[in-house]
Amino acid sequence: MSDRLPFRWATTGTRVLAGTLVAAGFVVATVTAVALPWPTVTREPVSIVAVPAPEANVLACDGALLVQGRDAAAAGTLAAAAPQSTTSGVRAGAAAPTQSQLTTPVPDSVAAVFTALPQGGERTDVAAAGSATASAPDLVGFAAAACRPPLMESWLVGGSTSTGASDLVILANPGAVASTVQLTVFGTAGPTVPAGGDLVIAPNSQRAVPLSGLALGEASPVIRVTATGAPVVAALQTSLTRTLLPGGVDQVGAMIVPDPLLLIPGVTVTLPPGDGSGESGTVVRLLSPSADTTATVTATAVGTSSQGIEPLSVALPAGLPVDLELPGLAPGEYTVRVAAEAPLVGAVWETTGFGEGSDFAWYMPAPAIAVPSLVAIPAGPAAAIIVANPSDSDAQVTLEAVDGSSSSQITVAAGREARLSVRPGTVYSLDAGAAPIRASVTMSGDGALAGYPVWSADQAAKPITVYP
Amino acid sequence: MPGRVHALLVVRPDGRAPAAFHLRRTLAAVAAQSRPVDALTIVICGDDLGIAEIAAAAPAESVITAPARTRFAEATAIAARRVDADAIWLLAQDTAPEREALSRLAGALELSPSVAFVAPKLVRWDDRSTIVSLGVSVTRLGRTVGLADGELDQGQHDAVEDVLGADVRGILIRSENWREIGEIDPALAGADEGLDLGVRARLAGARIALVPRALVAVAGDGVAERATPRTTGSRVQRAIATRTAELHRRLAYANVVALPFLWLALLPLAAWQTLVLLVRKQPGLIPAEWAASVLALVRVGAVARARARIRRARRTGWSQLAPLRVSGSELRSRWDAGETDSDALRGELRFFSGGGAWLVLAALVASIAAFPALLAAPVIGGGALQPLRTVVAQLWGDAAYGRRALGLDTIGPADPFAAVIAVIGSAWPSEPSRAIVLLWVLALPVAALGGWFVATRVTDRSVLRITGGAAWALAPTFLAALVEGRPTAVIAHLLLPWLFYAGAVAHRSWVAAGAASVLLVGVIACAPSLAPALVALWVLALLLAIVRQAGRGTAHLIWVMVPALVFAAPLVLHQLLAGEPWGLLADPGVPWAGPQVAADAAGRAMLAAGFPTADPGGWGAFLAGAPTWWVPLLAAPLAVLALISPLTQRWAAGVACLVVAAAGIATSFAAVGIAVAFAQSAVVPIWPGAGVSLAWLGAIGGALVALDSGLAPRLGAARAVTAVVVLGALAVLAVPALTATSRGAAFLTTGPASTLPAYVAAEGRDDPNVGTMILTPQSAGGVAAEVVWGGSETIGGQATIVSTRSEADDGDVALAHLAADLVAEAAGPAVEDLAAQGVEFVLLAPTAPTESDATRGFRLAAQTSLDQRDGLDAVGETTKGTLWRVTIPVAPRAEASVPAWAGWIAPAQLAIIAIALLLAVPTSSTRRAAQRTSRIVGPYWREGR
Repeated sequence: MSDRLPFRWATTGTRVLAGTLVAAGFVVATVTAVALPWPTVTREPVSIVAVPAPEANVLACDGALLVQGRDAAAAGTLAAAAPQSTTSGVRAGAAAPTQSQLTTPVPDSVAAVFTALPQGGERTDVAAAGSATASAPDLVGFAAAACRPPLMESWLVGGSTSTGASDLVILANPGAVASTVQLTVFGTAGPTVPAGGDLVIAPNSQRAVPLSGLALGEASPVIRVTATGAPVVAALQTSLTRTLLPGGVDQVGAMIVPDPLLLIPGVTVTLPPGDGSGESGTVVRLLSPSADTTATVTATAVGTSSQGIEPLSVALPAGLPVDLELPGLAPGEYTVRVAAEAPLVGAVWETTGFGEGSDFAWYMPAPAIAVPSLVAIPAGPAAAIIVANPSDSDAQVTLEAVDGSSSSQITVAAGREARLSVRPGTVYSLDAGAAPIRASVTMSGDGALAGYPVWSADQAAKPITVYP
Repeated sequence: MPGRVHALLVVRPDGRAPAAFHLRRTLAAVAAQSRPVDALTIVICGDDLGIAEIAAAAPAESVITAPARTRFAEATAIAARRVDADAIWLLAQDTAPEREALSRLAGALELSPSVAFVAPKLVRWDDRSTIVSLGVSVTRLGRTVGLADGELDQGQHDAVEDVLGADVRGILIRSENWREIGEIDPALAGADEGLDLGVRARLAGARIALVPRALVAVAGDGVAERATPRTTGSRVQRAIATRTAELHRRLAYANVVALPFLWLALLPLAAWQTLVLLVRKQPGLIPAEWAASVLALVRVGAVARARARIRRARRTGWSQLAPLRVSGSELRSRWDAGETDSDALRGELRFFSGGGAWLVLAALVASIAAFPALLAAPVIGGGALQPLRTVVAQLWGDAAYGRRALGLDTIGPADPFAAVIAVIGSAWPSEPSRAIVLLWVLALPVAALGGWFVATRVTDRSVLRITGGAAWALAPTFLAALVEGRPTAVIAHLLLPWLFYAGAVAHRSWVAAGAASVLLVGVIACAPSLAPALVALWVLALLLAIVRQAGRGTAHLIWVMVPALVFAAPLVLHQLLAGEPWGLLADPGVPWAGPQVAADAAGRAMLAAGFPTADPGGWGAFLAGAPTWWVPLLAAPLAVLALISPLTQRWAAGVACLVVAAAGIATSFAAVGIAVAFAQSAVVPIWPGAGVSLAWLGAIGGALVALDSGLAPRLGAARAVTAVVVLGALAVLAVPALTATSRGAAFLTTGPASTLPAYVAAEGRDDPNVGTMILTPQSAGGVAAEVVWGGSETIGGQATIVSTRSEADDGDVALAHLAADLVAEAAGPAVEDLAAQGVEFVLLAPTAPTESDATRGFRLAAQTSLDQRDGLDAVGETTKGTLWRVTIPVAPRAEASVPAWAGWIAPAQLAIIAIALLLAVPTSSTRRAAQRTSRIVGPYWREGR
């Protein structure tokens, strides 16, 4: 240490000054660095959009028409009333689907399963449909239904458990593992899972459950079928007896998902208005599963733009099914359209009459068809495919039999429908390009009425984003 | 009796200027002898006009010119051939005998006929009172020992006469002995020539005598004997020569039976000597050792000649030489002589008396109170914590290059962090996961200990050291890492003070450099984001060493970075080749997007205040929404003191601390904006807390400097009060973190023992090749798929090469398609593919923490699809998700196609760590050297006012 005072003052002064500058510089630099925008590096995680390998196409048919209580000793047992004849096919050149049968507890009942394995990394389109004609004292009528792929969730709209109705929920599990199915009945009390609503469907088997055992006294039930473990094919066989006289039978397929727009083409009205017992031959059943909404119902005659009836507006409380009669429809083929804010499920019931020898049918909404799809027409009365084009542009529709026996091409104007007669027992390919058409098969004859929608083949696996 | 004395003077200019001066003095001294030489032969090796002129002017009988590379042995051999005198006097250009030297040497030779040669006392060229050499002997193992080298001449050795050998310079040898025993062995390359001559003379039955009263001044030009080393290069040259001579002598003297074994042992011996040199902190001599060994190995002919020379002249047995060797006890007494050091600058450490032990104890109590549940837990989880492998061998397997524990077929380098985890896990070999529990419980006391020790580098005052230790343990970033469960940040925080404790003095000693190099590996392994800042500080230290200390210590400092480079190299190479250089900065271990500040101005302000989380110190959650603007102010006393430090007398230390703090702050600012790792579909940003730790270290250092030297001695009370204020504020700050586990606000959980269901954990406990595919539906859509090998995901099994990959590789694509096929009911052979890859289980994990409807739907669909698979058997619902087992035969996991060079990575890394640890082992001499330096680094003034 230097003892000279001025020297010490000078060094101390320099040190304090420089130190202050350093400290101040540090503070200023830090504050500036806080305020300045710093560059950021953010990477996106690796994601691979993987398209799964195609699945096998599995279609399960509803099987024979069943009847309950023929054996007085065992009123609960089921018996086959009329076998189902199936028509199936694939596109030209594809290997024929393998056909197998589901095991069923009902003797003589045969429910077919068609399996088409993918070929060359592509799904094999397959279509099948079955029809059955019953003419027993306790069951008469014609039923036709498409064989459908199993689903995790299906909506069954139709049937009733009021007096005279004898309805069965038919559940088929074409898979290799057991499925646990929960039936939720939407009735006057809203959605309930009745006792016995939880069922186990063994692999490769079919099971029929009387609807009356699930919900007694429901005039207009809607059933949600939720499967876990394996998807199931759900169907409703509904038949009617009016004071000991059988009033018809139908096999009702399922609806996949609730939709704000229900389009039901091919509703075939044969009963003139005012006929019968003052009841309307056309009833629309609607349910908004989860939200209160108001639906608008219109019916348009096929091929025209004329409204068959005035648009009806109906309030739909959440979870409560509503039946709505459509009176005053002249005989003909109609497209019933239901639009609402909330997703709906629904169907149209149509009958050929209220007396002996009549038949009825439940027409389900048709889903949009975005890709060329196959449709099978089973044996039965005169059949037609009603193509509806709800879009804003015209659609070129080609319908050709996969065996090459016929081919027709028409243009369906925007918002209009077209009718294409088809031959029973034939499989057709329906191609509308990219237009989101909807189509139904309708079959009607003397004392025979049936119809089912055409499901899109757009079941091709969707790409899945995988983060490895 | 020696009538005629013939002096041989060897001159080798080597282009050096002093040669001429030395030669002039030598010639003058020879000429001035009281007993003049009878003849003088000058041998000039090389062409040098000046030298030739001087030689020509000298009264030489003859001047011989030899090639420049001629050695002393060869030069004397050439010259001695034409000598017909009775005695030969071996001189070099730099051997200036005093006036009476020759007469005394000749007199001694004359008096004892049994003496083959006599040797003078060699003294320094410019200082005749310092002995350069007076007699040489060997140890039992043959190492050369100078009997009086470097000692101050007080006549203490003048009574010694009988020796084994002597320095070759200035010896006077009888001509008949010279011819009988042969000339100087040229294979000795300039070392131990006189010793070898003496040994041979002794074996021939003659004696060697010292004439301590005959003085010869030597300059060490390197003409005869090796030059006095002045540069590192010449030091290595001299070491090579010494060692070569030693090995050559060993082979030449050995019993013929032992000879092959000695020859075979040369290289193993070199390896052993390498270790010894490392422990002796002379790594610079290792190349010399190997060069000498290889030289000795290949010079079989020279050994044969040397042995023939001995055989020819030998008359007596080797046992005659035994009494002249230096015994072990003599050696020890020689070494102990220089032991006492009175100039020790370093005082007692005062760890116990200064309260450091009490601080650690208090931190231990606080830790047990803060994490009571951990004491009984065998495993802790939560945050980025996962179990460890259950077998120590698997822990180390994870640390090696090869198949990683994640991914379908990921082969690549391990994160160096896996090695850190392996070291920690090996601390509790029966249950490695418990070592992490132990780490958590001991984290606070260990941090306090580290903080206390690093404080000893800036202050001697106990109160300030305690302040430093406590402030380090209570650092908000450390507590946040503990509560959130971030092992990388915790370990880095524990290692950082030791790195600076050792690194601050790395320029002084190899011990500190070795320790710092190992610690640097650990710190960078745990927090790669600190690497740029640490490298910058290292470069600054290197520049400082070059500028301030004229390059002394640069080798030490350079070594500090070497192990870190070796450890980082495989990963760096892999990531660069993969085009993912940013991935190098990602935090290793479990990628986890835990709470931390955002990359905006508010976040950076929090970081600058010392908080890596947006909720400062956890006070926001603690007060349940009350304002927390005042919390950062609690760190203000420390910051203000640190800012004062450059104004104090120890401004240099203060500025250095602020530079460290600035490096830390810059690191955290940069790190918070970098997000390069991924956990499933989530992006994981770098934890900025590691940078905050570095900044905190600088701030504590600055604050301690300010408190240490910023207050006058009479203000001791004020110093204590300020320290208490700083600590009080930090203690208040720590309240939410230390109470977090008891409040249930911490992420830490006890358990789980495995991240996989117990069924898989049991299968994979001993088999690291049990594969499980985990499918996790993502809330943003899509599904995350990963394959985990072994019984659990583990901390050590994580790999940044997997978690930072931003481009899918083949394995990713295969995995993605496999996953897509499994979750969609694809008709392909997905299960067969799975089994072919060796995957035995499929786990469908729930989406954490809440599941949206879309995710739930996806999960249910996937579950259905998996349920329906042939070859998959549902094991059942577990807390970790739904598990399926592959029932078809599973192929063994594919063998890793590890490239052959990768096998060298682990040995190289182990070798470099072993070298560093050997360097870090303190020896008595390093301890003595350390005693001579202050514990405090940098200029240090005690208050003189």
